[in-house]
Amino acid sequence: MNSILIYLFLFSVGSLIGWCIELFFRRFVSNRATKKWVNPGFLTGPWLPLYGSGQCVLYAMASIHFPAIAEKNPLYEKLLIILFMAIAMTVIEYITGLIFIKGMHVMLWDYSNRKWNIQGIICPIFSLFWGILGAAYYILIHPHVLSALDWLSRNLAFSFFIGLFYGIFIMDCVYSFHLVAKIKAFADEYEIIVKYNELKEHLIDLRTEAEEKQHFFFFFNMQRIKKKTPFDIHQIYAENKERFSVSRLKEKISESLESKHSK
Amino acid sequence: MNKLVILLFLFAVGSSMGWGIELFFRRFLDPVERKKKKWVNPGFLTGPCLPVYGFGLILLYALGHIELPMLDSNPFLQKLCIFLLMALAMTSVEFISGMIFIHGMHLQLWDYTPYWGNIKGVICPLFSLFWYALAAFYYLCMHPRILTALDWLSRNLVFTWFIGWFYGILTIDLIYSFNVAGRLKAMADEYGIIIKYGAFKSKILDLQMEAKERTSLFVQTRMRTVSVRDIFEQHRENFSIRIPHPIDAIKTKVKEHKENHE
Repeated sequence: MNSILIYLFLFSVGSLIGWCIELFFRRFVSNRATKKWVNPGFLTGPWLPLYGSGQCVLYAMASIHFPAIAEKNPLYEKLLIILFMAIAMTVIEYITGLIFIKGMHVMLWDYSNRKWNIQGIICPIFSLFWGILGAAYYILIHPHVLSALDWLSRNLAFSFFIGLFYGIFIMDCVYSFHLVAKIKAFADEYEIIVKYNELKEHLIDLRTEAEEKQHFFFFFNMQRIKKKTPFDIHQIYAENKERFSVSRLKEKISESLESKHSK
Repeated sequence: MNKLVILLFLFAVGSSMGWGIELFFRRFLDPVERKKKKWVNPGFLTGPCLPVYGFGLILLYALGHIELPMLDSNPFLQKLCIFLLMALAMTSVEFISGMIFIHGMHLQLWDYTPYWGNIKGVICPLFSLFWYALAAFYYLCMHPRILTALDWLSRNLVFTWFIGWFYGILTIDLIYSFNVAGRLKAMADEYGIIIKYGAFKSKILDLQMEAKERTSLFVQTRMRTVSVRDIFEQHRENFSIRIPHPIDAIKTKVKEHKENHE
């Protein structure tokens, strides 16, 4: 079977499952204090590309073998692979976080309160979680993925559904990047970086206050609130920006200070 | 190969090609619309897709396999009869979809009232003749190619991935376009009209040109600076037909009846 199709399949399944993991993880583990169901990630639909890419990497790594180590003790080989998986996932997490903070001025997750975090994007405790996830994948899920791929190779017409996923996914990307670009414009105006999750939670609060219908997927859909009360997305930023923003990276601030001084 | 994949393939190919045909037909050939000299996105969906043609291609494909044994002696006449059946099938698809949109959504997607012999403005002999020509073209030029394409597809089933793409985008388009149409229907009901969709879009294009707004070939149902309600309030005579909807007629009768009782 075509190896492109394999990775397309893995990406779609991984991002769907990852979204579910993240949804429950945020509700019951990391943000359990707020007791809110928040759509994780920056896309609108139930998928997280980070986990999709992660799934592809995990699949590729699960077929690695170290014959020299395996001869001594097969357990060491497994542990080494799981360690590599945790490192790979952390690297993906770091790259994704950095792209969004630098490129879109949006912070999708914030580890700055955790010990030994690097720029609030990665930290050892979450790398440990990635290791656990990698182990679970390697030991429990990988054999099932292999049999699913075998089934797919015998039922190639099923690739229709993979295509269906990508058709919807691409529309979602267009819509969501459009939205993030708007948020970036606001972020630039106020010289902040927007904490995406907190922004979503804040909008949930506003809707509860205004007794409006919640939009789980289209969290930014504020039309009804706008009609009822003079809430404006601009105003929301101006009044509440400390709730969901971190000030721009230090060098940026010092740059602007320097330019003011020079004037 | 799975019959469902064949149907999905035909619908996808038919509706995209039909959109292309319709776009150029309305711009350059249509006796009424070409005078407006505007590129209007045909049909009700936002993307380059016209489901009427999708269903049409499925019917044409099915009818392409038909044989009429009683006319075996005259293959020419046999073909003419097959084309006739195809034209009839296309006309009925046109009639059904036109009626669904007029009665269900209060949208008139095309208007044949200026043409002779039209039935409710939804079908007319002239356009059935066009369907006849299209059917002949399909049967003579396209049908063999569709068969080879399907044969190729059955050997390269991975290609169904691309068909899936089409339906993924179509799903989003359907949700979006029905949402837009639902809002327009609410407004149409308020003013007791049926909206001529093509004329509505072309009016918006005019207004966009006036306001020097950017126009789009796909999203033609909204404006940046003017709300749809304002467009309705100020310009609705450009795109509305006053036909009392049968249900509305009953409603007013019931109301009158009640008032008389009281």
